[in-house]
Amino acid sequence: MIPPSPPPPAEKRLHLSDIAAVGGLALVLALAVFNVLANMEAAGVSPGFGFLVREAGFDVSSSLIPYAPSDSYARVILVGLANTVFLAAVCLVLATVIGVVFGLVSVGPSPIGRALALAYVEVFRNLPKLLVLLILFVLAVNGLPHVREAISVGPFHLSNRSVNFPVVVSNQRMWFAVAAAVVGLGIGFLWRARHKLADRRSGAAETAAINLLPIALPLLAILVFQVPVTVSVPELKGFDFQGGGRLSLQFVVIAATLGIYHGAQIAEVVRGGLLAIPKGQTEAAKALGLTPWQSIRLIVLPQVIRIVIPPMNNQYVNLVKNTSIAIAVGYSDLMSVSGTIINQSFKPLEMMLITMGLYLALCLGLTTTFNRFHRRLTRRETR
Amino acid sequence: MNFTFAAHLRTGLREGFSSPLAAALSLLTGGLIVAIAWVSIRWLLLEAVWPWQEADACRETTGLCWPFLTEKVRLILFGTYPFDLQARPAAVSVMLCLLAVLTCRQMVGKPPRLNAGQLAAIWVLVIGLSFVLMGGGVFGLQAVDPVRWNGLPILLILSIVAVALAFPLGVLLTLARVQTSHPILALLASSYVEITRGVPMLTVLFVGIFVLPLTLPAGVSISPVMATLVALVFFHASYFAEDIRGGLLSLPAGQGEAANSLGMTYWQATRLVVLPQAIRRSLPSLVNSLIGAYKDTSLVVVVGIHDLTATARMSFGDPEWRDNALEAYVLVGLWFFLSCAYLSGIGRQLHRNSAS
Amino acid sequence: MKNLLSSVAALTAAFFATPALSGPVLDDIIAKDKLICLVNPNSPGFSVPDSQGVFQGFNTDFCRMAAAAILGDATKADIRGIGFSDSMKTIVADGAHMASRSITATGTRDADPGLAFVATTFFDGQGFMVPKTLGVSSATELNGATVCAEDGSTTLLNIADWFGDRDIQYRVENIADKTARLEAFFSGKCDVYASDVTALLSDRLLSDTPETYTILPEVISAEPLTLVTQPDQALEAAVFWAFQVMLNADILGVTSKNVTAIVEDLESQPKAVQRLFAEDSAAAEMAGKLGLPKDWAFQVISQVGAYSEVFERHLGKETPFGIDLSETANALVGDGGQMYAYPIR
Repeated sequence: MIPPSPPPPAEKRLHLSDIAAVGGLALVLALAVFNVLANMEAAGVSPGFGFLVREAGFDVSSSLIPYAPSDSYARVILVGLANTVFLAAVCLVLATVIGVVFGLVSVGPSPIGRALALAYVEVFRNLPKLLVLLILFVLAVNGLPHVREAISVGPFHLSNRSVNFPVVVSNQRMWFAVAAAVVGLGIGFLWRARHKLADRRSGAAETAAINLLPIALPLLAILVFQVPVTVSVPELKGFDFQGGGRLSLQFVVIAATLGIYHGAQIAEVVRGGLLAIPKGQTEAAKALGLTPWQSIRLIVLPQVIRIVIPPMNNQYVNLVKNTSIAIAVGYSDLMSVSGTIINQSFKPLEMMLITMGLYLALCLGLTTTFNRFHRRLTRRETR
Repeated sequence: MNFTFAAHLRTGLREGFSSPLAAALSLLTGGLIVAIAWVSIRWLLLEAVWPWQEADACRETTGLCWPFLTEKVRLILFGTYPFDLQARPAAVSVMLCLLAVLTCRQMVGKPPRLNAGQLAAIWVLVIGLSFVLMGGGVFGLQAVDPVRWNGLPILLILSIVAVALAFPLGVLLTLARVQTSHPILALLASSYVEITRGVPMLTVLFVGIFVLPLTLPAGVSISPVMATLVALVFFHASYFAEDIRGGLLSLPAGQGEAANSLGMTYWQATRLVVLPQAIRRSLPSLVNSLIGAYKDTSLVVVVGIHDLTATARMSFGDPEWRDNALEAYVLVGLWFFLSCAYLSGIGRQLHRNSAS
Repeated sequence: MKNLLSSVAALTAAFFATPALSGPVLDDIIAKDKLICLVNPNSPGFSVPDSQGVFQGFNTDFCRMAAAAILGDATKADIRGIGFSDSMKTIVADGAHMASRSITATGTRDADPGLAFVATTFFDGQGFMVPKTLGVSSATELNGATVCAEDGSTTLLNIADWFGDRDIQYRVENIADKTARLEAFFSGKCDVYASDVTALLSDRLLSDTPETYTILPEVISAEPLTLVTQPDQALEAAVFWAFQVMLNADILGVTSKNVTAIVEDLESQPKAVQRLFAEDSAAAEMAGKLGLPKDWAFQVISQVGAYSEVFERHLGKETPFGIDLSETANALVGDGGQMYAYPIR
């Protein structure tokens, strides 16, 4: 990073122009607000957020939390937000996996692989995401088999209606296992904090044991408390799969679109990060007698992660924003829910403030997390 | 030629199978390429219905249906613009494409060399002429309502005009942001840029379509096309502002100081010394934002503007052709791919230029 | 959608409210020599641009009907595809003369000063689709049936009301996802599929064998899809009576194909036909009072056709939609439908 240069010096004078500019802006804003209020009053709509407690009266295509049309507008916004967060989380994982794989392949030993990775990046760099979404949607609806001829891999089924997969049925005693997992995580956290305080390095076996705790403890809890583990497996009964978990085709197509679209960009980021590591470093590691795996884990990876974090942050924020294109195929995300509410309640100003505020909060939250992560990594480096 | 190809192939194969990992990777990706190629060839060639065949043949196969494309290509390009007048939107599309190409050539320093004034004059002329040709109503041209501005020309107008207006706004936002003598203005500019960059473009389009008309005094109305254009300008401006700020911050401090010590005023120093260099330095990232802006213009379909994506949907809305969605989308995809690839090429060239 | 329309219309009406006078809008159409008519930009069967970008479909033909009646030339209809809320705003703001886009006439909408609901061109409403093999010809025979309907929609409430009133027992499969719901029906999981009739018609096409399904005549909620104009007594009258001419033509057996021959040989025709097309007919007298071309009735029929012709052309048995007009509420009253032709005399 080049340190920011001081801005061009400006003439020091009475801040009359400052006041004028701010005043002018305030005047325009005031005029706009005045017009909005006048227009709304003329239409018999009173401004304010009171409508949020009114009955929404419309249904959503899918919801992670219980919802009925008789619930309030506030609740349906929450449904949309939850759907957006869920979609974003799924896309984030998908895009990262795709991106890392293709990023690695693009610098890998196989020239055929390199060509494929480059072609993939080039194609999706040059297509609008909306078009990718619509094409994938057409292909999925026409190309995937009917539900009765679903493509099945074990208990997982893919058809032109949905993806069905087994889920663990929750029950009361499940909480024992959850509590055990939390305890396991807590122990690990405390243990690490203590070690950091003492600045003591621990043995590999010890670390492995601590890392396994969050998995081992719940398993133990399941055995000790005899938690019934029932898995609901989707089965073709009648005309559709019954039981198990289900993701609608819309969701799958949007997730695939954003996964592939951002995967291409993340692949570029990963590639850039890998190419930025001078070849001499791996050679030096080799000379020191490190195995290739050790050299990757200890030399290359830490540096690459540090390089790619800022552009990855950028990608993830863009991905969260791009989930809003889900509106085009009718997945009830935050954007689509807020569009419906605007049409129904005629509260465009209030609804857009809420929607933009929520998206802004999501993006800022993500950026803050990333910055903290980045700081921690760089701090470790300087220590 | 043949010899070098064979040599390349040989080194490629040797490299591709030099280790077990490389071999596995080559086999896997090679298989994937063959599969994709096979599906594509089958759709494009083997099962395709050719333009000279009867349209009915399309019902029999799942391949590319050329009769659909020859039948619907004008609908996809120009939508519901009056059929007899479609020379006008065609001329506008060509003009705007040429304008874009001309500007790109200027950026990478290819002939014809024009100065900034000439280029600006051409921009104003072409954009003005575009609106006259599209809308008509003057010089004996039949008037055509903006509702009928569909397909390619509206995509180009919305992206090119929005970019042209957003760029100066972005420059102003950057200047307001980096100066120190008016802290409130700087704060306002930076919050504006950060907020706009933290929300999806669709929310900004919704504000343009739903909120903007409300902020106008009673009796004044704004057409959806214009409302969308305004929203796009304000959205893209903050992305450009961020790019230009990057260029500005990478500038050595001495530049502004030197200009100042020469007795230049703030505006002189900015206009003649600082800005031209800052913009030149930010060109690669500006081109990236530009490609993004162009691709995202397709989102206007969500707020009811009938750009290329929307006319593609119209083309298979016809009950006779309801199975040909893929053909229509692939045609639109091809256009975006070619135009974006050209812009990407310009971006790469700028990168090379700035690196050397 | 209803809330949307009333709020948008109310808002825009408040913006641009002008006192309703008789005539100025019709005068404007004649002065401009074109009639601006708004339709849905992409609604298969009702309004979709053809390969030349010209809108075609059931709804667009009523735009052409109005242009033929008022300007004597159906091609002078300037048909524009535009979104729902925008089209209401546009009409209220004097940006268009009329809209033909499947708008349900309701009391509150008609009470808005900026819009006039003129003539119902399509009686829609919630209906039932059954496989022909079920051998059912009326919804009243559905005792004990399983009904597929959209989860949480007003459809379910309407079904509950209607069956409850008639003491019919039924079971409901409420499925939110449309493809899943349709699949459930096509595969026989439910006996009956309930939705708006227009939706039933297009949904039926998604089946592999559309011809094996039939739509029952009962329509249990009222969705009169109506032509909307700017408030203007003369324009409203012109559009309303042009539509009546198309209905009367159906009763009298006049079509776009035979109308020229009929007019050439008027003396031998029934009195009702003469009242439509003769030099000194009732129609000609109306034309003088409304400011229409003297032969407006002839122009409507020769350029657009009778109502059933329009229906058959875009939605009828020969089209991919394959709707049997006589099965729907849009048949003439004499044929068991709800289309009632007002007398022109």
